[in-house]
Formats: sequence, structure tokens, C-alpha cells
Amino acid sequence: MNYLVSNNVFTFNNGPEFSAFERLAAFNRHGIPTKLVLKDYSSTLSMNLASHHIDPHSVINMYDYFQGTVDEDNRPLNVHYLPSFPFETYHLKGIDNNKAKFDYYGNRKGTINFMPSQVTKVGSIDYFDRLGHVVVTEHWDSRGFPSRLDSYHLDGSVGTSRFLRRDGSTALVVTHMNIQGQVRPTMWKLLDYHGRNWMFDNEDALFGFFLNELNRQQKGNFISDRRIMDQFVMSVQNPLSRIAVVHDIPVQNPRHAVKSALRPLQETLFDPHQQFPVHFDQIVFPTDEERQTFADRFAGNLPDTKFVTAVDSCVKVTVQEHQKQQILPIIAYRGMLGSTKKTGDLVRAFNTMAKHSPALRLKLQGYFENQDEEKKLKDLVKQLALESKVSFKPYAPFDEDFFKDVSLFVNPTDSEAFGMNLLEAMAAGVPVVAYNVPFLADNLVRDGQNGVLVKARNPHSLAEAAMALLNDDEKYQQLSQGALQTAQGYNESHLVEEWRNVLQHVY
Amino acid sequence: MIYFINFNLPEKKSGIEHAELKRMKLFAEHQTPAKLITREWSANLHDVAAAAGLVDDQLLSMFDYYQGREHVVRQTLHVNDLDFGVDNITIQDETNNVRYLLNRPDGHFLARVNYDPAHDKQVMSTEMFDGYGNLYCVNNYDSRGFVSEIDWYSPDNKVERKEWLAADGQVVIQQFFHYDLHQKLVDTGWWLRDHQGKIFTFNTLREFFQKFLNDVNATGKNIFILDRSLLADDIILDLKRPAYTVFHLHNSQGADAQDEMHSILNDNYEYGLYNIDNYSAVVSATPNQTEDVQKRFHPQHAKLFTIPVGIVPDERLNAPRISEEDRTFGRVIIAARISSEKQMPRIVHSLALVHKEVPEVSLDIWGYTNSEKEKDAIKKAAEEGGIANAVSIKGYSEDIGEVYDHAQIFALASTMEGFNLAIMEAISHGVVGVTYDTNYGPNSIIQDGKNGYVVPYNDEQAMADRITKLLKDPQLLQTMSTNAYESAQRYSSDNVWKAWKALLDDAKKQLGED
Repeated sequence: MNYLVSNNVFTFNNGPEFSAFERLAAFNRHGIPTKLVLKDYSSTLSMNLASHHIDPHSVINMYDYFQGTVDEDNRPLNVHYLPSFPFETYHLKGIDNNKAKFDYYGNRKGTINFMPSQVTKVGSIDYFDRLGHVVVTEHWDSRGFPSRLDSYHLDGSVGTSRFLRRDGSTALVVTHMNIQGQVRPTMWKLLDYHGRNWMFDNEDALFGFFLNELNRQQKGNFISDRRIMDQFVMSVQNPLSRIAVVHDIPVQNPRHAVKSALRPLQETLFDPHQQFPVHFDQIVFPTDEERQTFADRFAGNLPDTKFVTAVDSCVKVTVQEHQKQQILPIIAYRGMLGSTKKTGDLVRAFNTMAKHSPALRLKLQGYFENQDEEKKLKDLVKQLALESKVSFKPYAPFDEDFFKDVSLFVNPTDSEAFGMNLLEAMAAGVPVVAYNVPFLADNLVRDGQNGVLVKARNPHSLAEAAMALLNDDEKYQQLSQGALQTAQGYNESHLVEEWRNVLQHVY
Repeated sequence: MIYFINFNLPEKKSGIEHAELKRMKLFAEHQTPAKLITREWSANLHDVAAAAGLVDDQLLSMFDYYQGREHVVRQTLHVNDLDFGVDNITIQDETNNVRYLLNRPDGHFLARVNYDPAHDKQVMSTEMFDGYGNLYCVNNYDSRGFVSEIDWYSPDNKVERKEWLAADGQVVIQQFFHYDLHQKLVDTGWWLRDHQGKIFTFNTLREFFQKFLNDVNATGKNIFILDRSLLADDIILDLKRPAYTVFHLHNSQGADAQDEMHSILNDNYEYGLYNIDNYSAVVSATPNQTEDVQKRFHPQHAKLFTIPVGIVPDERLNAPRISEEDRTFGRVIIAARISSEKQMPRIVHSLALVHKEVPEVSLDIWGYTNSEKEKDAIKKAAEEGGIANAVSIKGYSEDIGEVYDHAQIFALASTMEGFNLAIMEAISHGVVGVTYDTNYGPNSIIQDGKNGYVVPYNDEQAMADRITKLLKDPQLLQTMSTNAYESAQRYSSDNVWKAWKALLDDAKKQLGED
């Protein structure tokens, strides 16, 4: 078995998560049994799995595992069918987009909160005491059953959480008490798990126990796609193997990868100070260049670790060719939006381009790093008076029509290990424009073959390169075809073949 | 089903609980199933019930009902049977505090386990600590050997919530505490998951009890006998399904038992009596109370029944009779708890008067002491009357029958009674009663001039005269003793059952059963 160890399938996910989702589906389709193993409790997980086209039967969430609810299907419950609600006694009223209230002879008894953007679908039920305090919250899972019962301390913070089995009994109880004067979770206790109780002082300890239980029942390769998961994979006793997947450039400055300081959370992986007794069996990089760079730098510390290459992502090419829009050409970017990805550079570059070609439009799709970044970007658009030309489209990972009207995909990032979003653009025949940064250049993006690499990393140069390409029909067609060709190389069989080598312990 | 409704079944029982237990026995003897409903949670309810002769089928605790714990095979849990979720615990027995102290192998304190030293160190409760030294909950064990109720603590160490669990570990009942407007920590509500899995919240325990009684009466046509009026006098008037509701008086309905027609009402019965006509029936223990209730409240719909709360068993009625010659001459007794409403110093005053005529007279007082002050008052009265040597305060007797068999006269001077089991028992042992004309019970159990004398209320001289007369006339005393034995037949199991049967027949008729 292969276990892809992660936190969660969030409402919004980014590269490492998508990479894991793709592998999960591809491996299972090719007969390589693989499970996505998740740490966080989420009452909307089944909704998020559905919206990311992930087979729920290929996922094991830790809480589900202990609650005995692993193989349930997405089935959000309509409030009017709520089996615990005494319709003959209480009045359900005031239903709006977010919630319904319920009363008994005019006294407010509680509220039923709906799932995010799922009107009438039960998300949680707050019960009030006679003074109007919320005293109990019953969290309903999007698979249509109550999965968690919270009660509150006198100050309104959560006191006890009970995670429930389908029969309503408690599988896991979590208390919140003082740790150095602050109320925080202080105990996780499994009740009647294989006939006995187990007490843990924190969630991490529970997760370590959980991974070991999985491995005990079916030995496997434990694969960590995110550095915060590394410590848990390290804690598994006698797995088939431990594999770390690198999705980014692990140093502060990719241009000086040999000397630049490691970014946070990389120490467990590369052990620069020789302090850990156990290391990963393999570290997987998306390109040979990156593998070589970091093998040169760290392999000496890690005598038993193999540095290997396996592709990060795959795409399916469904078009023969792509035509540039003549009337209102659209520049596009999709991915996380914010200063990490230098989205501001793109807006500024577009500003320059729009001055020359007023018909140009910019389409941005994705979620913002945070609310500050959203405000900054939107303020910038406003300040440059581009509101009529720049559109923000909400996060939609399976928006297949996104590239249909796109002429160029512009990615202004200055640290990229692979470029999954660039690959998606290429699969639609859209040429890409990016800064000439290490590990991206001459790997996925080849200047003059499938896109343009801009040496001077400033919005002005980015704009010039993009305009030049837009104005050169012949080159555009050539790069478009080159993009399609590149994308064809990154198909699912290619990904599976590369990974078979990594998963050699099993296959 | 027939249900008797009470708060609880405590170890120290009052007359009402005794009446219920006798009634339960009577019903069982007549193959008529009944259950005692209790509202309060109690860790040792089933122990107390078993000691009182009740089987699980005769008990319906509200908490048991929702917890699915009405029938549990008892087990004795010891500290080693508990599962704390931690291996290699060290256990230290702190015998002077009747508890164990438990530590984790990493040295962290884990729990205190409080045990019952009288029952093989059976676990009573566990105080649980997290890995950061916080007491987060206390598990309270039912004496049958399982966690029934959990007290959950706030970070500043106050009980903020209580939880009751079903056998499968589901939380079925919760009680909440919060600060009110006056910054006082008060009970602010209840939460229930019922047998159908429906969730209800209640502002008060009373609302919760209302839901419970409706669930019990879900099919309708039950008989509810309310023995503690204030517990449910409103609830049983408002049941969703038909039921036969019985308002059972266990005391005088007037606050002044000497003025039943005009005095303000006994607090316990005020609400019920204002609503008297909405009950199916009202039970009094004596005919004169029934008559007074009829005269003062003249109910149109509620049926009035007189049903003694005391029962004299057949073996007592058939027991050999003791003649006056075989009793201690001049032995007067009181069997009652020592408290002011029994007015025992007045009896002592009367006895002082008797003593002048019959120097052999003596007074033995049997029963628990509720009031030390009253006890002192009795001693003082005896000294002042010059009969200190003739008055003995005996305490509680395990064999009061033996005491009755040696006594000649039973004296009673209470301000108010609902029945008085002791004087009924006394006549069944041939003891002649002399009592004030006290409502209700004494003046009904004692038939003036037949099995004793009923003298004007608080007339110490009259009581003295009657006792003197009896002691000076052995033949009269013997006649009245024989009459006393005979008059106990009124409280035979058969007669009391006949009285209940009349009520049950009426219930059947009203509820339309065949």
C-alpha cells in the first residue's frame, strides 16, 4: 500500500496537494493501491473530495478511521429531514442562506447552520440554554450524520469535543483546558479502540499512533508531500519505505541553491546538522536539475537516502491546436494569488501592455493567499484603473473552459520547482511567458519551444516579451504547437512509469 | 401501568416513601404491576430500592429510562478494572482518604479513584487529570458498576456541565451551568436525546420531567399517582395522551389542621386544590379528610377516595393477643420522631397529672430525635412535673412490635397528621390510644370510647383524665384493648386493597379499558 500523508483536502488547495491528488488517482487507475491519509477533522471533507474529483474510497481521514466512518458517501442532509429534530414540538423558522432558527412557544432553542454555500444542508446545530448561551454544538458531516458533539466552557470557548461513531457513541474525546494559562486542547482519548482506551497529550501523538496502526494493518510506503508532515512519516515504525516529495525550491534564494539557507521546516528532511537518527529512504524531486543540485549539497549527510527524480504532475491533451483570440486577446494566470506568486508583477505588466493594446484583458483565477493580499491586489487594479479589464474568477480547479479564450499564460513567479499551472496551459495549447528562473527554465519551459523566458525580472520586460509574442502570429503558432507537444510528454502513463521506479519496494 | 411519582427513594425515608412501599407490596400481592417513578439521579438508587424490597421492574428512574439502564446486572468495579488509556500506571492506596492516587509512568498525575471502604473498595468516582495537571472531569459510578454521570470542569475548576451516558457510551442527557445576571453560577438548562433520537432542550428540570412523563404515557391510559404534589401537580394535568391522574394527599390540606374549612392552604397542596377538578381522583387516607375536602372544594368531576396509607398485615391480625395483665401496668408510650409538631411536652404535662392519681404510670418515647431542643423541652417538662424518673427517651427501636406488646396506652398530641402509621400499628397490638382531636389520622384511627379516646385539641387535663380513667379501670382498659385489636381490621390488606380496587375500577372505566 502507498500512503500519501497530508493534512486535509481543503476548500482551496495548492500545488503539493494537487500533485498528490493526481498521483492518487493515477496510481489507483494503474493498479497501484494508494490511499490519501489525512490528519485534520473536517465535517465538509466529502464535499471537498467531490469538488476535487477525488474518490472518497481512496481516502482515509484519521478521525473517520477512529469513528468508523471511512467509507461513507457524500450525502449532505436537508434540514427538513433532520432525524433528531422534533418537528412536532419545535418550530423551524427564519430560514435564510446560512441558517435556520428553532423555537418552542416563542423561546429560541437554537440555530441550525448550513454547510458553506449549501442552503438547507445541515452543517451544525447550536443548542441554547435558557440564558441564550450556546451550550452544545452538534456538527453534522456532509455525508449526512452527526460526527462531533462540542460543549463549551463558561467563557464560550470549546470545552469538550466528542467525535462520534455512526451509532452515536464516542470514539474520541478531546478536552480543552489550561496550558500555561491559555485554554488549549490538552487531551485526546480514544475510547474502546480495539477493546481499550488510549490517552494522548496532543493531536500529533494521536496521528503518529494512527499512522502506525495503518502500517501495522497493511505495511506501506509513506509519502510526505508537505514538510509539516515529515515528522509523522518519520515516526512510523518499520514501514516499507519513507518517501519525501519536494514540490518547491527548499532554499531561500533559488539562484544560489548551493549556499542559500534552507527555508523553514526543511531540516528534518535534509538534516544539515546531523541530528536525526532516521532519514527518508528517498527524496523525490520534480526535475533532474533540482535533484542533482540538492544531492550535491546534502547527500553526504544522508548516506542511506536516495535522491531521485519523478514528475510532479500530468495532464491530458484534448485539443489538436489552439487559436489566439484576435479581437479581445486574454492574458491569463491561475493559481494562488498574492505576493508569494508575484501576482502584482503580472498586474503591472498587464498595465503596460494595456496601454499599447487597449483591447487586451487579464483573467486571474484562484484563491488569494490571504485577505490582505486580496485587498492589495484589488487596490492595485483600482489604482491602475484596470477594473474593466481585469477579472478575478473564483477558485475552480476543474474549470475546463478556462483556457479556451486565453491567448497567453503569464507566470511571474521567481521560485518554481515545476510549474503545474504552466503545464495545464500548455495542455490547452497556450504558450507561456515566465521569468527565466532556475529549475523552471530549460525544464518545463523551453524558451522558443513552448514559451518565452524573460531574463530581466521586472514587469516591464515581462510585458514586452508578452506583447512581442502576441504580435508575432507565426511564432505564436509555433510555440502553441510546442506547448502541446511538451504537454503530451507529461501524460499519466509517463507519471506512473516514473513513480513505479520510486515505489520499487512494492512493485 | 400504574405509576407512583416521587422525587427519589432516599435511604432515610419519610412516611410518604413508607406508604409507597407498602402500596407497592399490596399491589404486588394482588398481581397488579406498578412502578415507582423517581426524578432525581442517585448513584445508589438501586441499592436503596433493593434494600426496601423493590425489584427493578418496580422502579422507573427518569435518568435510567433515558440511559437505558433500568435493568443492569450488578458488578463490583475495583481500581484494577478501570481503563485510563495509559499503560504501566502506579497506584497508591491512600486509605485515610479512602482513595487511590494514580500516576503515569512519565510521572504525571493521572487520577484519584475514590472507593467505598464498606463495599470491598468498590469504585465510586474517578477524578481525571490531563497531561498538564488540570482536573477536567469527575466520573461518577452507579453502585451497579458503571459510569453513569460525568461532572465536567471549567479551567477555573467549577462544574460547568453534567453528562449522563447510555450503556453504549452515547451522551443522552446534559445539564448546564452558567453565570446569571447576578454573577451567580446557576443551572441554566438541560439537553436530552430521547429514545427516538430526537434532541430536546429544557429550561428546567420540571420541563424535562414533563417530557419524561409524556414519554412514559406515550401510549396513554396509564394511572399516575402523585405522592409528592409539588413535583408534578401541573404536569399531570397537561399530559398529551389520556391518563388517570391521582392527587394523593399525605397530610392535612389546611395549614391549620384545626380549621380545615377556613385556614390558608398547606403550601404543598395549594396549586393542586385550586385545580382539584382537573385530576381524575383525589386520595385521602381517612374518611374525615375526604369529607372535609368534599365540603370545602366540592369537586364536580374529580372522584374522592379514602384509602388508608397504612396496612396491617394478616399475620399481625392473626397473631395471639396479649391481655392487659401481661403488659406493664401504667406503661404509656409514644412512637414518633422527636420534633415540635408532635408536642410531646404536652403529653408529659398530662402524665404528671396522671402520676398524682396513678404513681405507677411511666412514659417511654421511641423514635429518632429530629430536634435536640424539643428533647430538652421534654426533659424539662418531666422534671418540672416531678416525673423525671418515669419518663424515658428510648431512641429508635428495631423491634417496635415488642414495645407495643408491653404497653397499655399510646398517647399522641400532634398538631397535624396525614395518617400516623405508628398509632395504627399500636392498635394492631392492642394498645389503647389516647389522642388529641388531630386531623387527619389520629382522630380517625382512634374511635372515641371504643378503642381509645379522642380528647379536645391541646386539652392536657382531658388527656390526663382519660388516661387516669383507663388505668384505674382494668376492665375498661381490657375491653378497649380488645376493641383496638378488632379495629385494626379496617387496615387489613384486604380492606385496603378493596379501597384501591375501587379507584382502579374507576380508572378502567374512565380510560375506557375492559
